Amino acid sequence: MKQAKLFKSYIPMTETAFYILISLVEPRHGYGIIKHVETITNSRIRLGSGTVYGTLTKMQRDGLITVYADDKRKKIYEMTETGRQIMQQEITRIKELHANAMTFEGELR
Amino acid sequence: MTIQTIRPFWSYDIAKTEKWLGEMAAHGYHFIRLRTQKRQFVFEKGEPKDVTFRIQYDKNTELPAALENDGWHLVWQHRKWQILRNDQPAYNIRMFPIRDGLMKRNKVLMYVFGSIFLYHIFTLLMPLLINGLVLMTGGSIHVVGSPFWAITIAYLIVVWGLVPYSFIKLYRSLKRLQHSHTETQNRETFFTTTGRIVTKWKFGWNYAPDKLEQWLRDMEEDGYNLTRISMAGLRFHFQEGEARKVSYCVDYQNSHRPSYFDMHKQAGWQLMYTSDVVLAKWAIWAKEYQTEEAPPTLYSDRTHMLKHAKRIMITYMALFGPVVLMFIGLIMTDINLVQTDGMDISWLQMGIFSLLIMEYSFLMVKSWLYYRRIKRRVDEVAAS
Repeated sequence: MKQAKLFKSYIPMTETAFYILISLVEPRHGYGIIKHVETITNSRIRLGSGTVYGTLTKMQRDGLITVYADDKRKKIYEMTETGRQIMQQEITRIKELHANAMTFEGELR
Repeated sequence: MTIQTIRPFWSYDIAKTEKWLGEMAAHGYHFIRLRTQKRQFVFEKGEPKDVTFRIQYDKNTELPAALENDGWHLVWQHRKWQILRNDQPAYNIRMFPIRDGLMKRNKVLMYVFGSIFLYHIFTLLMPLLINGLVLMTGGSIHVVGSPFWAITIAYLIVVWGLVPYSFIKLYRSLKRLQHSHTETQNRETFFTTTGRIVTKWKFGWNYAPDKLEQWLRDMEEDGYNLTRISMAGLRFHFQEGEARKVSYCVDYQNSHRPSYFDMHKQAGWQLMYTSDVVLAKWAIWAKEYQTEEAPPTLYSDRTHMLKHAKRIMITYMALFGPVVLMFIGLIMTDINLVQTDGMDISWLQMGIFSLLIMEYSFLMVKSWLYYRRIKRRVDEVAAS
């Protein structure tokens, strides 16, 4: 029940939250997330560090990600099993969205 | 064979306890469990080994995969407490659990002990002062015996021994942890010129942080480079130099977690000022940018921009709202007393109350206007 509520609060995801979480398919530190999102969106999205901090704090509290530190005391973020499940559901939703976008795009013209 | 050791205040200085667990293992005593109620550590005799322990306090109990891969495993767990062990030689360990949860817990404990102690200092000082006055004016004091001396003495030991001991212990270990926890980073000099120093005072910027940001940006464009902020964030020191494009962000948080500063510093922001008082966790960040670039901001999305502005507004509403209501209530009671009991009206008191109501209402309106400005700006960006 609690889990269902959590899923509901994250799906649909904001674009920012989506890109931050998807960056964590492999562990990254905070600035690594900003750089990665900039690369995969061809510099369209430049995340502010306050936005990233706020999103990560919330996701960590909700158990979507965990944190640890490397030997230089730099914080590294990693997706948890819950995070993966939520991402999977969101991707399923976006796939449907995408399929419908492709189907009906032609009718616009 | 097992042995047990009691360590009453093990959770106050976690780094020390971890080290102790490691030393025990080096002598062949391997930690297996902790009886939290009795504060008793249970060890099993085995081969001496060099291992590393880490104690965690977190509600999220899933161990990150990277830590598992690095050799960490869970030895013991109880509620939010976890004791992790790594059998690799210390120089081989690359990843470490973090202590945010633990630091938060100990900070809360420290504040609780601190306030109990402060309360007792005040309640002790008051009677001492009164008794002192009585003695000085030639009076005498009669000591009444306590019916249960044992309870009185136990209470005194707790209040004047255990409470301050806990407070000091927690304070010291937290200071050490904070020091070792923040990422080591060299602070590069932000300004290079050696021009004349100009200082300016700025009051009440926390009710309209966007105006302070704008003012600092304009000063930089006019060639006044901000070098430091002093006097609890009221005095701004500038150095006359070259005109620069610098984006300033005034940020308010409910709490400053260790990762807060690291995150922004990694992203290229320079911390110009920070205050770490309860209900006043402000930070002023600066970042230089090129003319052709858009000024960088801490918050890049609508949700977080609004959330931040709302946080400031709500804090001041919650802080000043009740105060204003209280003074309105006091004025109304006074008027009521004048009408029914024929009491003389104190114009001075009324005047002071009205002034205070106006002042606090003004500050509330100011922070509300700030929120409205940010909301409008965010909506404009969304519409364009």
